[in-house]
Amino acid sequence: MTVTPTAIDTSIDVSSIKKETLLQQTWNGLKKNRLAMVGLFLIILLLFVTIFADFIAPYGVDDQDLTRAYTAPCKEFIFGTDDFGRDIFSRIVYGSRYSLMIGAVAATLSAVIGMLIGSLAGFYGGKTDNILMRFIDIMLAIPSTLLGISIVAALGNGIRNVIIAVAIGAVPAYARIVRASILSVKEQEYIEAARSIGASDFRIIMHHILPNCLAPIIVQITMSVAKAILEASALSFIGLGVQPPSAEWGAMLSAGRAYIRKAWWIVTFPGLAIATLIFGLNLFGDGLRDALDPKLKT
Amino acid sequence: MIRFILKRILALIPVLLGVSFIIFCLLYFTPGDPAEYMLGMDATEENIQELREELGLNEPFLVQYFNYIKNIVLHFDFGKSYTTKQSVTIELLQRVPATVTLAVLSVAFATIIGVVTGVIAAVKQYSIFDKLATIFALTGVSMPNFWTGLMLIIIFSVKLGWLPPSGFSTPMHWILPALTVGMASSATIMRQTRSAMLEVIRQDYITTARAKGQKEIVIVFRHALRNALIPIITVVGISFGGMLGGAILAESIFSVPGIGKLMVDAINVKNYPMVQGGVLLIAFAFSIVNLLVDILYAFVDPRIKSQYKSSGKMKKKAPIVATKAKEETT
Repeated sequence: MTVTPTAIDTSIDVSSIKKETLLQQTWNGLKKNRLAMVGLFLIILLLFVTIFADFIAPYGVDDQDLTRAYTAPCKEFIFGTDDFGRDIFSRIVYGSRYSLMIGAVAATLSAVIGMLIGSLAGFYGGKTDNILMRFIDIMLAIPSTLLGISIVAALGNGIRNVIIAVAIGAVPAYARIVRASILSVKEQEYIEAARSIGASDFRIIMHHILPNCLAPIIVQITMSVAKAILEASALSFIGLGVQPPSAEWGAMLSAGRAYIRKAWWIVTFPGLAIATLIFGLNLFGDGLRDALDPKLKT
Repeated sequence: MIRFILKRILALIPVLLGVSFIIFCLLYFTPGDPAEYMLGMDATEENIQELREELGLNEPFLVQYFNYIKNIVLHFDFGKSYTTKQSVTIELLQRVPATVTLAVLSVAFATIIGVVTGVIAAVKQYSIFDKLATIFALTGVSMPNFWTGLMLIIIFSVKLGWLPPSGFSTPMHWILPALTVGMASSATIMRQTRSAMLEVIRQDYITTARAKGQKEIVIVFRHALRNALIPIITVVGISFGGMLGGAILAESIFSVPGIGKLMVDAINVKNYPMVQGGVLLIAFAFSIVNLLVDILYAFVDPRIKSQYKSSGKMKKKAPIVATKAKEETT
């Protein structure tokens, strides 16, 4: 038996195709998308600001100078000062820590719970599915802002409770997405193969099913970070979340509301910071969706 | 068709019971004694006990829940407000007109702006208008709506002095809140309209309509838009929930005397019966809107309607079309 040159060629081709992992494919797709790159840039910029806040902020987060209260944006205070004469730029820089932390923790929490519910419902079907999904239906009947408000009202103020409230509000979306994608791969032959060699349910879900429905989950995570940050700042804004004098962006907006006629900059810049971060996350999420799964493209 | 509607209304009951149970649990296990809140700091122990007895707060949890539901179903009574000691039902109903006005105006604004810009963006794909509309949509969904509200106040009330910053008495007062609530949703609706229209515009029957010399405007609205309506209606229905949430924030920014403002005020003074009643009422409204959306599908799409009419096996298919469209947009 001699190996023909054509046979060698195909084998090389196959191995070179295999080398491109999902991560690389996604990255190559993303690189071409200019808007997604803008989004990524904004996200990295804010991460950078969060990490090096101590070096970037020209003043301390609580440094007061009552003689300079209500200073309009100028060279010294590029975003102006608030009613206590605190530098708004510095407070926004430090405040990024709250938003990013709330976004990251809440999205992780809701992803874990949602994936658990979704996998159980999708994988076992029948009664389990019915009970879990009816529960999700009930949660979906309450608009998420309202659900967040009710949960914080019950648990009390504070950053931990805000995270819990926002995370619970995001669970239904994950549960539905994971359930739908599990239903689509559950009947495939490789699942049957895994089961026939004696893999446990847990192993099948973790190693065979979830990796194959990663694309929509990853997209949902980016989107839910954005949503979590928005909802958390909304809760702080109506006075239920992180409380002033903390430099959380929503809380800053809430505190500045009273001076809206006198000093427009107090409410303008924290909101601009929220909008920029959400804008970045949305652009990146959109790009990621297109790169991961062209079918989902809208 | 009527059987389908009845079935959907029946299916609402367990969902609403579930909502009431969750909210009741949440607020029941909240630390603090309602009787103490009602009587204030200088109440004696006996007074508190008396009031607890009167409000039924000494009953076991499930009995309290059962009584709560019983009063709602039989007497449409959501309990007594802790602060004003008036019926929650009456206070809530007084606030309904403002919230409904705001919601309807916001939905109308969001739908008109979203559909019109979406259609133009799709018809003139890749044009400068399309790009501008896409950027508008991306910024629109990124802005927190309470911030949008404050910015609108700064621009139109403080700087230009054109519109009043708070209150809800005249149509002039309605403009800013409706813009605030509708803005983000108009962006979502625009994106959905654009992609739905793009899909339809490539179909053969559009080419046929063009070939027979039909006017462009008739093609766009009669031939294309009608066939792109299902996903658009779906996204309008879904955004309605977001708009209800946005209305809560907008009401407290613009001092609109609506249910949202009532609830936020109630939460701050731990007036829980009011919060419970408000959440239930909004969840109920939201479920009704979802039901209306499902019914609307049938009127828009003759295929779905015929499925309702034909008896037997086909009946089940209609909701599937609807849910499929719903899943695509979420």
